[in-house]
Amino acid sequence: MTDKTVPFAGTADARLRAAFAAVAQTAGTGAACPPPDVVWESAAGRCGRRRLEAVVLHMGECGACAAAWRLARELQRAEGSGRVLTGPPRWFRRTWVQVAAAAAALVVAAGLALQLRSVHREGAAEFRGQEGDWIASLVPEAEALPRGRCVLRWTPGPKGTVFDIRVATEDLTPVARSIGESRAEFLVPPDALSRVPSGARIVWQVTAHLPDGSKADSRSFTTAIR
Amino acid sequence: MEGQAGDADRGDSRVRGADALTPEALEELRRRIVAAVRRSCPTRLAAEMEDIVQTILARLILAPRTREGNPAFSSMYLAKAAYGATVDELRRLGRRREDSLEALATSDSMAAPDAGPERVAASAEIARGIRECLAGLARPRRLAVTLYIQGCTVPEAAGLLRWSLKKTENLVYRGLADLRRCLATKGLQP
Repeated sequence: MTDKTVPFAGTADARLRAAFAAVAQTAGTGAACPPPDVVWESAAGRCGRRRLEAVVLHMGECGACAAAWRLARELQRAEGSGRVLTGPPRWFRRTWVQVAAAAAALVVAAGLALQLRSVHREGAAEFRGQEGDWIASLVPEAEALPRGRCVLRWTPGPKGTVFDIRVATEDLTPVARSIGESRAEFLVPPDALSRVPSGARIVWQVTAHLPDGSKADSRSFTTAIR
Repeated sequence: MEGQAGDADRGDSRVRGADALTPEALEELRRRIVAAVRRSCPTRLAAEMEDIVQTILARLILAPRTREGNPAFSSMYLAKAAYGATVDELRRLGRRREDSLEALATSDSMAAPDAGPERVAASAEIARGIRECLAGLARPRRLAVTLYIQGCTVPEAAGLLRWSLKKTENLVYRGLADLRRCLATKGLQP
């Protein structure tokens, strides 16, 4: 299917798109803008649905982020020889396929978790430069943390690793941030969680500064708050 | 983002060694940053390209690993840094120039870089109107229309939003109709 099946006025749509792209003003002070890597991932269809929706809604208000998103799409097109990631393929949108995939992912995740624990115990972890996929959340996915003692934990790196951590709501509103944590855990200040409703999830990401000077960004984790 | 790194970078994708802060190593690092920025920087930011390169260079020189004599930066790292710095610059310009029509004409206008002040003012007004009208749409229509006017095709928007094609098509169709109606009430017709 192409856009031709939609009875839109082609030229008028092109004018609408051009007008929307004409001004790249930043919304407010830019404090609400998602980090560039989140914009990149959402343009590639590689982030969760809620996060994607938060970025798309923000683009509607912020010309600069809309421009950053279009730039990411252009670069991704160039990178993939004209093929831009557009989320899961059509067959994947069938419910049973998604359930089967989720089950398979759980099995793989459990295996990875066991492997990570084993690697950690042996103290022989390989830390792959800028790749942060060795950083795993040690907060059980199904567990909701109490807002009075919301301790986020993750895979520790080699001795001497220092961590930065950013915590936000699911619509990417900043909640807390800490720089230079020497331990692989962070207590989110209860005050910072006052506006997070019970049952909502927070999104958090860790940056590890390894003793060799390299830096690694984790993927984003989500944790429910009660 | 590995693919943003060019062929030239792939052969020797890292600059290593304790002598990395020699003028030659610095020049090599700079050359790779310039290549990465050229790939990620839109033409309308051409005037800021040198600033972006300097920003990245300064960040990398100040990075702990460089200070410790081990400035190993992969092509992917540089590509990410280039995209990030470009986005920072887009936002900075977007903040600084929000009320300057002259600046909009020279920098922020993607649709018509050579447009005169009147046309730029009209574009700015329409863009403002679109944002206001988008904010008034029901959430699903707002999501679908935003992606559509961002240049996505209906199948691409459906894929990103994990919706069926039929649902997305409907939402884009109805959302665009709402948007045009709203713009018309403001006296705007893109």
